[in-house]
Amino acid sequence: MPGRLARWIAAEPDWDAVYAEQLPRVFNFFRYRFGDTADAEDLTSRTFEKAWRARHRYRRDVAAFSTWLFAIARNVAIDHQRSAHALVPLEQAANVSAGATPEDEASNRSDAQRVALLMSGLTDRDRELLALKYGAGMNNRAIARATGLSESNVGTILHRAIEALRARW
Amino acid sequence: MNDEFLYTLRETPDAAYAERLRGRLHQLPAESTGLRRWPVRRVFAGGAVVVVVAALFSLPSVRTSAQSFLAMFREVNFVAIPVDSRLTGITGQQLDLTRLLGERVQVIQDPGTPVTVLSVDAAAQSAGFAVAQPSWLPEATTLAQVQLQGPRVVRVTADADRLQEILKTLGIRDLEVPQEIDGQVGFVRTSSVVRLAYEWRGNQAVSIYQTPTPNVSMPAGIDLPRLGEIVLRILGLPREEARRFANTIDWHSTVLVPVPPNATSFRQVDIAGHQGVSIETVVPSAAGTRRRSTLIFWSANGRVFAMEGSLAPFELLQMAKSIP
Repeated sequence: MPGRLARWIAAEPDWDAVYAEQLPRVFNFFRYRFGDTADAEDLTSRTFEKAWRARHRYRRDVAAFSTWLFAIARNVAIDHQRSAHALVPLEQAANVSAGATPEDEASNRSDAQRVALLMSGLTDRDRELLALKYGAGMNNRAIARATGLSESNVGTILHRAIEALRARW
Repeated sequence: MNDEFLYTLRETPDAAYAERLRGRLHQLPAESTGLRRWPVRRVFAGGAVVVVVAALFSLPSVRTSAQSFLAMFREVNFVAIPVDSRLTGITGQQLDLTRLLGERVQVIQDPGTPVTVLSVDAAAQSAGFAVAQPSWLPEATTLAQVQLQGPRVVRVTADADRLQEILKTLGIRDLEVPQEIDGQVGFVRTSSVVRLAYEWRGNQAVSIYQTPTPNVSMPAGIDLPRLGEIVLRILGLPREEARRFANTIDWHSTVLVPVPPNATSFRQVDIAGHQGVSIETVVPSAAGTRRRSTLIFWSANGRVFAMEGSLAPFELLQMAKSIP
């Protein structure tokens, strides 16, 4: 491999610029994904910590930095889901006792809270795609690359998910 | 609802949070050598820090949680229970036990108002126990004040009729309060409480409260699972859930932490191997905005800890985990 190319591959991104650019995207990915700002801050921090620690493993010839960062973010989201299920059994009991549907509760909340509540009724895959699209600001092609779905499949899933939200709005 | 609307729901991360995370990343050890360091430029976040106004000393719900129920052993587990909004209709948002049970709760020894002491050592000497401090602090966070509050003794007299009345008010008609508990007297003894107040860049950010595990004495023969089931139903758990939970929980080493309806989230947390509870609330500030506050309760090495702060939850957790 020519020396200049090797140096280019190994060179780190401008972390200051990366942080400023990607922090809002990662933060909003988690907000749309889980609907809670406090959780979003926590998960965003974990994502950047993991990325920062593993920065020497990033290779710009393999993927764009944002693709690499969101692969970490998606894994953090999966870990969070697993731990949340394991740690909060009583929260589920509380939800059962509430007796209200997400639609009922949504009618009394702000727009963001309403959307978060309504999204909680969607599948994990739908929520993730919506979070990547509207929270992280990815286009369908980038989402397809990140998730392994085809671009047309991404478009179809997003369309149906939005229709489902609109129907409950 | 369309694309444009969904994009408008995005938010800018809090500037103080972004600044703290940037500083924290800068402190993280690198996995390999020879790498560039994080640029030192910082985002100025002046005025973005929210100030903690609630304090454990004056927060009835916390006081009630820490003292009430059945903390008898050296170490206790905290379990969060979401509270039915009907209950707060009776007691107010603060879930004050005194308002629930009226004159049946009597303060035998008043702890007085908190006093500021010169140092952690001075607090430890007056309180009579070693005061633990976190070995890790977020960047730019410093210990600003040490306070001490005296011991407290509370006498609780069981009133079967009053409890039955509460159940009736809450629409719970399938539970009978055992008459044999009527007039039984229990005592809750709390040692001195030490508060360590930390500032982040001159603004109050975190308070850590600690006290030896409260001592609760109750008459022998009390049917704890049955009493526990009543308490759980009053707090709002459904019948089956309350019964199952009441019969499986170890009531001798468990403190219930009522989670008020205005809490935005809560979860069980692990603090260096000890089970704790973290509760997030959003409260209005004097400036008319809303600020987030996190409360964490846990017990370790014969002491009960409570932490309240406006820092990010992961920072509070890391602080908590660094307390020996």
